[in-house]
Amino acid sequence: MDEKVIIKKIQQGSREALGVLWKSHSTNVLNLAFRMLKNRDEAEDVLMDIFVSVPGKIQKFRGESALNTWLYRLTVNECLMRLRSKKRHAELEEEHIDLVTDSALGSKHEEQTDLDPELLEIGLSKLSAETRSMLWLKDAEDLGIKDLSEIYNMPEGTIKARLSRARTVVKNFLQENLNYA
Amino acid sequence: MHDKIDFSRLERIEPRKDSWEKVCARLDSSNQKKFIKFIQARSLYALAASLIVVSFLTVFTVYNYLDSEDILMTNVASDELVSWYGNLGETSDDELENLDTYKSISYLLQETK
Repeated sequence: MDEKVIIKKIQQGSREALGVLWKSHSTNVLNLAFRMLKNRDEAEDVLMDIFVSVPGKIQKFRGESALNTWLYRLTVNECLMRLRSKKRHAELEEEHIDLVTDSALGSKHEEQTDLDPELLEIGLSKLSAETRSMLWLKDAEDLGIKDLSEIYNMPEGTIKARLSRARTVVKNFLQENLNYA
Repeated sequence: MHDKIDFSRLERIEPRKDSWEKVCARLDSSNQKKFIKFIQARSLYALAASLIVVSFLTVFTVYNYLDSEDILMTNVASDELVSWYGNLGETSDDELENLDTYKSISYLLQETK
């Protein structure tokens, strides 16, 4: 189904069209939320909240950006709101780093040839939730700088600079721990 | 891009099987709440409209009643009687002897109303 048709049908209240949107985008939304919140249950809550709010919020959607960009923006905002409202952003980062560092660094001698996903998680934890999600959308979901600029409402130059800094932070961390190149 | 971070080995999670059903249930519940609110709002509007109509009718009836009393007074009393009634007490003589029987009865009727 064409994106514009989906939008129009959802605006008219079609549950079927919302189901099509769910099938095509729910996994991406969930993974973005999971990358930001680092908690499966909370990510699932965000996913459901986003899709419950879609029929209402899509009434104001003018179709100027792609549907996935719009959904990612909703997701990023929802996750940031949750992180801020809980006031545990910093604590969560610290807590998770400690938790994963023990297990990942403890096993690094076993798997030195491959990139350890857990070590990468630790590296990513060194970034803020927003920057981490930005890096995820760029490198894992292959979004363009222009899309990211729309999602985060930042100039393209700022996005590029933040991505570059984020990659440096993560790679330096990996190199320090596994001679990652 | 060559300097991309390789996320391919990171876990990619899938939505739980019942998540979509939960979304549908929440949407249905939200629609029901909206319907109930709509009905409640409609009931309130209907009640407010009824109150306005009742108030209007009450005011209208009272106004008509007062208005009709004025008309009755002027209709029942003749000009001569009204003039005599208005002049009562202004002279030492109440001119009772000048009133005929009909006028006297009309006067008494007015007084008893």
